[in-house]
Amino acid sequence: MSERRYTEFESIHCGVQPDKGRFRIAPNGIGWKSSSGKTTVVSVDDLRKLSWSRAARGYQMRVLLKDNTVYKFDGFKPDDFEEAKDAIKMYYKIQLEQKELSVKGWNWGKTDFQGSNMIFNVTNKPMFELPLGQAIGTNKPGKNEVAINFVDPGQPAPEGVNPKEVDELMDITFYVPGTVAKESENKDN
Amino acid sequence: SGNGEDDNKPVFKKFESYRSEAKLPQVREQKIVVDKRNETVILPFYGMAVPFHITTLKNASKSDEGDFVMLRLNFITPGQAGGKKEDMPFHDPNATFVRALTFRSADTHRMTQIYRDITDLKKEAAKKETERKEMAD
Repeated sequence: MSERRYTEFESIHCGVQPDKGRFRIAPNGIGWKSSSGKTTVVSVDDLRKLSWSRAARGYQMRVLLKDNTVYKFDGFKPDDFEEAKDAIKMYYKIQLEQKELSVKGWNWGKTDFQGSNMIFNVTNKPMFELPLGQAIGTNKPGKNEVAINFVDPGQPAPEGVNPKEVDELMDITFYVPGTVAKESENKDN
Repeated sequence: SGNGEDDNKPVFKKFESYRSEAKLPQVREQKIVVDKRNETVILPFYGMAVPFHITTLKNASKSDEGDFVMLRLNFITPGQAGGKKEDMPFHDPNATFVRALTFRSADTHRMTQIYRDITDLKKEAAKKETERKEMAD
């Protein structure tokens, strides 16, 4: 393996972290390394599904592992899609799926779970996704209500995040009509 | 929608923020953006830019907590205490609804402006709706 065999993209973010880094698609897996030296590496054997969608910072590649862990890389340009798709197909024999998000602006839909991620779908398109693994608490503030708490008041901003530059989601409350009946029909994905 | 002849039962008035994903403005950062033209508030959810149409919003409130400003958004859902239920038909009353969201930022000045923009947008939308109803009568 002396010749260069990988595809790279510059100025990519991993998760909500502000640091940019180099994102590499290589035969043995996916790697990201920030300019400050942080790394995220995913082995080819762990990859299950890769998808491409709009994000706050450009476009996002969502990497789903076989154990349902999700990694998200964003800051891609629209034109990066073809190059990423070709590399992923060549090295992993996986199709990079373009996933359109719901932009209707509705506040009703259906929840779906993938590992510890909760996906809120509106007319069968994802509207948003929440990493429940990062939640610090849940409660039932009222009848048919479920609240998920991600940040407590007084809690400092995450390491490396400038609280003036990022508006943080602290909590979300859902209204779930007929909660009890719904839970029994919860499908596993 | 209703032609005023049998409108004892209000119908759900359809609305949408954007026709397609391509119409969603470039946001670039994980910050709240008020898109007045499309009557939409775009909210950052873990790297995603998530639009909510102003019609879904019930009210907004702002409070200070140390160095942070917290913005609370309450949305219109079924089963709300004191709500004029009959006035608000739902597209799918059995769906799961986002009822409330809280965001925080240390950028006091920008958050104050966002709060003002959201409440103004809501006021304008309410005014338009009243005018529409008057026209229908």
